Parts: sequence; C-alpha cells; structure tokens
Amino acid sequence: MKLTADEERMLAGESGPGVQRALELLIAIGEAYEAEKLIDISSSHILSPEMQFWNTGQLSRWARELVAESVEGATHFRVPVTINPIFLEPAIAERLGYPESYIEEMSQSLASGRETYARLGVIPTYTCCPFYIHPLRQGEHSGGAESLVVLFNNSVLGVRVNRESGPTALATALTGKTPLYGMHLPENRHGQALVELKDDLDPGAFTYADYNALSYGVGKMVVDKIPIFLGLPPNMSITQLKYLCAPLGVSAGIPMFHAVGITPEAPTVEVALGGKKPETTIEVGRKEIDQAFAELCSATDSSIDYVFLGCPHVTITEMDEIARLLQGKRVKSDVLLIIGTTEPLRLLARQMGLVDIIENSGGMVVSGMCSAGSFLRRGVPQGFHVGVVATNAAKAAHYLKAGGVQVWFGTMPQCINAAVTGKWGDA
Amino acid sequence: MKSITLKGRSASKGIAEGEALLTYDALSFLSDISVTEGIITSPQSKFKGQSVSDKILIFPTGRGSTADPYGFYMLKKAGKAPAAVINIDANPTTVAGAIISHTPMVYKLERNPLEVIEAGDHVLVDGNKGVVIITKQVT
Repeated sequence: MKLTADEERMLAGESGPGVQRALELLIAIGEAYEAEKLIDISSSHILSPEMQFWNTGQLSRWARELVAESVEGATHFRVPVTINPIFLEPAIAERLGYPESYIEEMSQSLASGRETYARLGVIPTYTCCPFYIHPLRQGEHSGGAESLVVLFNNSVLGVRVNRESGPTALATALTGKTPLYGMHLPENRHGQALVELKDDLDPGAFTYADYNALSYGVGKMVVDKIPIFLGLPPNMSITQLKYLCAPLGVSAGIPMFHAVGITPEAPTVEVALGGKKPETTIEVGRKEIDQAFAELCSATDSSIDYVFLGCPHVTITEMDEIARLLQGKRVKSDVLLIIGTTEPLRLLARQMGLVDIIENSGGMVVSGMCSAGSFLRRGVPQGFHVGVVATNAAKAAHYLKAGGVQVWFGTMPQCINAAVTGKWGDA
Repeated sequence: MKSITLKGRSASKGIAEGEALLTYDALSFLSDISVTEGIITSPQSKFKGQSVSDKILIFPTGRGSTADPYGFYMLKKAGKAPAAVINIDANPTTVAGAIISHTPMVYKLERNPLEVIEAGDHVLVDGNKGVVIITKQVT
C-alpha cells in the first residue's frame, strides 16, 4: 500500500504507540480489501467497549485495558469524533433495584471511559444519532462504526462510510485515515435489489412501527444486497428515515440502501442501479409487514413491566408526540416508561415543557444510554429479571428477543397505552 | 512425515504452531465461541463443545459485527485464544480481532486450507511472511 509522508511518520511511531498501532490496523484491513491507499476522513463515530458493552466484571477490566493500549500516547483525535451511547445510567439501575456493588462498579467504569474520550476531545454526543448534532454532507468520507450511523450517513445524507468494527473506528479517529475500499468507491454504492411495495400498502399512512417492520423484513430478504426502495413518500421525515435505517442494520449486513427520490444518489431508479440491471426484485405487501410484526414479538404474557421508546434515540418531533399521548394520563405505578435520546435534545425538550409532561405522567427521559440494545441484552445482573418489555423499535425488539427477553413490538400509541394500563393490546 | 508449504497473505504478524482445528461455517468470535472458555457454542456447528484454545483455527471467513474483534481480544485475555487463524477470505472484523490480540493470521492461501489441512495436522503459521507449513499426521 502506498503511504504518504504523514502516514509513514505515524507508522514509525512519531505520534506514539497508540497511533502507530491504529495505522498498522488500518493498513492490514486495507490490504485484506486490496485498497491501494488510505484516505483522509472528515469525521468518525466511535463506540466504547467499556461503556457500551462490558460495564462490570473481568470483561469490563479487559475492555478498559484494550482501550488504554489503543490510545497510548495519543493526545487528541485527528478529526471531529462523535460517540455511541453508554450501556445504562446508574440512576436507571437504581430505579430497577440493581445491587449497590454493581452500580458502584458500573459507575467507575463509566467515569474512566468518559475521562479517556474527553481527554482525546470527543464530542460527547453519546448517541446512535450523531447526525442530530454533527451532520455531514454528501460526498464526505467518514470513518466509524454503529450500523445505524453507517446506514443513515450513506443512504440519507450521501456520506461515504464503511461498516467498520469498534477497534477500526477508534483507529480512524486516532489517525484521521481509513482505507479506500467499499463504500468509499462510487462503483460499490449502486443498488442491487428492487423493493416494490404492493398496492395493499399505503406508505403515506405508515406508522413508525410500519417503517420498522418494512426495514426489518426487507433486510431478511436482501441479506447482503443493497436494496432500492420504490414508492416511498419523497417527503419522509428524519424520524421516519431513521426507523427505515436502523432495523436493516440487524436483519441484514448491508451498509447502505437507496430510496428513490430521497437518497441523494437515487434521483431515479436507473441512477440508483448505476446503469445495471437489478439482481433481484422483491415485493412487499401487508402480509410481509404483518409477518415482520409477528416475528418481532416474543412475549406471551400481556402484563407489561418496561416500555422503551428511543431506538434509535427519539427526535424532538417524537418527544412532542409522546408528550401529547401522555398528557393528562398516568403511567401505571409498577411500569417503567423510558424515553431515550441525546442530551442536547433532552435539554431542548425540557425547555419546551415536554420533559415535564412526561415526568409528571410518571415516565422518564434519559439521555446518552442504549437502553434496549445494550443494557437489556448484556447488562442485567445475573438472576435479575427485567420482565416483559414493550417497544416500537424493531432493532431493540430483535436484540431483546435474541437475549431471551419477553418483548412486544407495536406502535408508539400502543406502547404508551401499555405503559398507562400495564397491559399489552388494550389500545 | 509429509510436509506441505502454502503461501498466502498475512493479516496479522507473528509465528505460532499447533494442532489444526477446522470448522466449515463462517465464525463470529462473539456469538459462536464462549469468550471466557474458548469453547465453540453455536448450536448449528458440528464442532459445538470443542475448544479453540491454542489450536490453529481454520475456517472459511468471519461473520463478525461491530463488536466481534472485542470477542477475539477477550479470548486472548482469558488465555483461551487460538494460537493462530487461517481463513480462506478475510473478514475485516477477524483481521482486526487478530491484530489487537497479537495472534498470527494468514489468508488467501494458494490452495484451499479446508481441503489440504485435516483435523489433528500440525500446522505452523508464519504471519510475518504469510506462509503456512503443514505436517501431516497420517503416514
């Protein structure tokens, strides 16, 4: 691989052993993909193994050791860097009645992680939706991990970014470089599978849950082909689009989709296909959507213990919708209703009076944590029972189901109703 | 004993040798292996229950996600990692895992390692040169 003088200096260890190892890692990944060179990126999005995945115990200590080794000698990230959510806020752990020793250990791990990344100049977004705060432009090359960020950047914003892993995302942040392969090359960004919506669907009337189900179902059908959605409303909102993105990240391994009339690189289906013929055509109708809804539920017990909205983190629009649904109602005393977002949006929602409405109803608005994806999956202490969970997020439902948790998947009004009545299905 | 040398590409440096363990499915270090015990746990694998520790682990390619390299690293920390990895094609999550775990890894050999190598063969993996030397245990 051809290296620039700047890269040679990093490789020689002039910026410390962490940056040196980071560059070695990126070169090896590049060679595996036959990349001719590294390119400069304008930003990166990282995740923290010690804050998002392993919060306590031996695995957490190892995760911290790995991060310390990876950043050894580094003084500052080379580009603006945003960061994924943490696992669980100690305040929520307390509310759930977790053991004190567990909360203490978790808090130490979080404090250590926050300090490490703050020292390197991270933008402390702690969100899976960094595009709410640090949006990128069409054609920018970015680094990073988190399948939702990659899908949203490529498909909605036209940013060029690969689906990287945790360690390589950190390496791109430390070096400001990534290998030139995959989604960074225009010829790899074309769509391969046409997704046609049958006449029995009215996308203009889709709920967020419908978009989740569509995305989840299509992901299972395309597996590794880049889909091209036809017939979606050109005025889709950012909220709707994030729900079209996120489930594809768990039901398929793809980094990008095209939505004709929405994706910057898909003004027409012909452009999205790059002049080629589609490899396959998929038809999606009410039956397929209903099937995705059914697949995302694993619960048999209609009593609800925990309702989670905010996978991906809620927008201000959703915060307003949730507050309207809750206005004048009370969350049942033994149900925990959690709305997850990022801190700047929580502050705005508080200024708007929305957080007060939600809190006065007995709900909680939390920022910076991945309630469903992380903590319900891995963070629950041994022998501790979270109970039955309701959510309108397919990605969360997928992980919960895989983790053996009883989960109901439905619309936002159904979820709020479940929080108020303590029962699923009374809507 | 017959010895075969295969040339390939290096993904992660270092030299290690040991007994070959072959699996024919794409492998995730986080989902298919217990990271604290080094035991293959995926129910669909016919090698379920076998230990990867100190073995030369040979499989077609990785099927890792964002967090997969951490699984490889945890295995190494637990003292249960394979001595080296040989793949047909390299998935970047496996490459990243091997590098951060300081475990030699070689791929794209001139012949299919799953056909040339048999379980129990003694294999030396030279991740510096991208070479694999197989000593057949059958005579």
